[in-house]
Amino acid sequence: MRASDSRGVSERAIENWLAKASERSYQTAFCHLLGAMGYTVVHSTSHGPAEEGKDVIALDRRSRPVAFQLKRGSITPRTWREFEAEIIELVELPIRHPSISGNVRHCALLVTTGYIHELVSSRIQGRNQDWAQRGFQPLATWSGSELLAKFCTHTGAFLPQPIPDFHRLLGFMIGAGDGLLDKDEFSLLLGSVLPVAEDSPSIGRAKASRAVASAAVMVEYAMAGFDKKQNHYARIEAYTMLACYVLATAARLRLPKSAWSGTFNLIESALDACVRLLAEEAVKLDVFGQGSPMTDPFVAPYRAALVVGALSAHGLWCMLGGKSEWFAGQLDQVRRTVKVLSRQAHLPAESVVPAIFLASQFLRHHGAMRDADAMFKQLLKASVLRKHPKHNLGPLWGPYLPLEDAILRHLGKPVEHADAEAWEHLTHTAWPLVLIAARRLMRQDLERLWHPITSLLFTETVPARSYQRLLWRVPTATMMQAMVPRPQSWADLRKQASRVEGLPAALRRMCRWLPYYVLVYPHRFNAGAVLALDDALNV
Amino acid sequence: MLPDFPEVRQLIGRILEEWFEFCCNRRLGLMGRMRKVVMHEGGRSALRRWDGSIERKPMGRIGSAVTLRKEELESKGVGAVLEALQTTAEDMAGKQGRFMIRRINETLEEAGQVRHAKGQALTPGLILEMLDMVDIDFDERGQPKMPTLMCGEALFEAAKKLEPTIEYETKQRQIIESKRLAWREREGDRKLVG
Repeated sequence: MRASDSRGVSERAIENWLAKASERSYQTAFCHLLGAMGYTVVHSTSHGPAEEGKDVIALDRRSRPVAFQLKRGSITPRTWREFEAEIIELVELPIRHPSISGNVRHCALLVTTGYIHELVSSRIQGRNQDWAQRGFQPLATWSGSELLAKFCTHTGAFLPQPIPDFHRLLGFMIGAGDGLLDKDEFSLLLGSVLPVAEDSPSIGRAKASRAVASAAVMVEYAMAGFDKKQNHYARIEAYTMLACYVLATAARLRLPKSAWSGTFNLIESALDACVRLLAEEAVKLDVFGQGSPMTDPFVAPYRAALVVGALSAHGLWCMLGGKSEWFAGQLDQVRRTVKVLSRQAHLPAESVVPAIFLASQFLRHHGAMRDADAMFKQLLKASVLRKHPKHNLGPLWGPYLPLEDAILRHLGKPVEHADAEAWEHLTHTAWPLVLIAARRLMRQDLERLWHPITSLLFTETVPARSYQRLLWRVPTATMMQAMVPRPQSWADLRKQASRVEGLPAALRRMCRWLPYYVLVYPHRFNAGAVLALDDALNV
Repeated sequence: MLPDFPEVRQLIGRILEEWFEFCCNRRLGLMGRMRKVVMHEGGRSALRRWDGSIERKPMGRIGSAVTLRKEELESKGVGAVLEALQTTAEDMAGKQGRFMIRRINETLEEAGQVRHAKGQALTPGLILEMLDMVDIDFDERGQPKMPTLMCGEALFEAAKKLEPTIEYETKQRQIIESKRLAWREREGDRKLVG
């Protein structure tokens, strides 16, 4: 396939995505597009009542404020009548935002994914004459074809070009969207756009900045499959991976913060919106009422663990400086939900350990110390004893095993011979829990578990470069395994528990991302990340 | 292209892989039953033992080619595939076995855990010497978890002919008792102190 053919296919794919996207699902992509076009997005609304006709507020290249109203589908005279009042607010009401002076007249733009009927165009012209006489800026429009052209122009060059990568993107776009995010595939997709591999060519700051913005738009394209099913958890995982890959790109290319912070802020806003939607479903406590009632009781306890992890990560993210538009108002409900769901959650594999750990941290720092401690003790015990066959508690599978496989095994599916990877005595997640217990002076609990602890092999993958910990897989890394000394000095253990090592500098600076990082990258739930999170929460 | 059956092929591929691994493990015998740890990322490994010693070993590449001749495929069909896989599995297992023994030898040499018999015949004394060099654990009932002796066929035949003498059995009991004391000491060290 020639490059021009490939471009034609990608245009059709983007056109198809845009035609099907809801207002909410294309808003984030639109913000990233503005970033790629040189705008600075200062606000992206969560569709609350205070929007005053302005879905997105940005500053153009000359720092002039522009307000956008986003619609989907075609605008006919009938639909125009339905939202004409919003358009009047968009044009006439000044922008109320701390970054923008109230004295400056803003430009107003109506954006839609469909066409604008000619009668509507003439009404807009009439309104524009009136607004010009009254000193307002005229309303400009971007219809579907213009919007598509802008998406294609500003992201086309960065879309995955080799056919396998492009097929990967298409696979996500047309996927069923009701399962978990395939993180192996998604990491390859991100790696095809962002130069994170050690051997990828270095690019200049301007190009890197555009690549970052385009990668964010591409993620929105890729999420189309999940959007169909309102699969918020998959989006949360995708945004976390995107954020990590952006930070890895910035670290590898030594980009200044200004080159990626605009995109990064938008990722955070989008993440916040996703968790809000997830929370809205979860607080209704309907996690046992999804899909067929015949099969749901089997999977609900595993779903509960993921929901608990996401809600707790968000609570801790907010506590550590993440900006959330809704969290403070729903804290009580979220806390109650986390408590209830945590009791129902199952632990099939180490990949779920971070979720339960985050829940214990969340409750600990939100007024439920006793529940938090009990949960942590249970987790520590399970992480150690379920690595010993003699305790007959069922295996705790490793964090690299795909969660759905782990769930099937937990439900009793026999392990295929070829997949018979060792789980006994080998752990990636128990050591950080031991260190946290040492920090909390839980010596008696540790003493009770110390004999089985001494036969564990504590395993961690250590990449050659620190930023590579932000990547899903690292080809040049060392699998470090360690046993505890015999005997183990309590003082030494406490000393180890006070040291934070092996954490990417970006996560040190942006520690609010640590909860999401350990949730989405369970194989990186190591001492460095967990102790740094604990430090940040206890400051 | 002519009609094809990709899903059937995929399933058969998996079955053949399993069969290949089964053939390898059967040929490897005791070594085929060893625990398998998969490295999902990275290309190096390091181990820090409880005594603080660190072992770093580079990875080795082991491979074996499968040869399928067109004429054999035409005449024997599936049988040709199974034969070729079995031959390759034998070859692969041989390479794996030699690689593992080389690695074990390197580690034992470094740790001073090797007793060279220098061509002398196998005797109960030699076996006791080896037994004396290894750590032995004990189960909940105080019974020793005796190590498994791995050897070639000739040595195995020679070992079968060894007659246990009273002297040998007394010495063995003494070794087991000393190992029990050492094990208790080791177990006593599996604790938090200070």
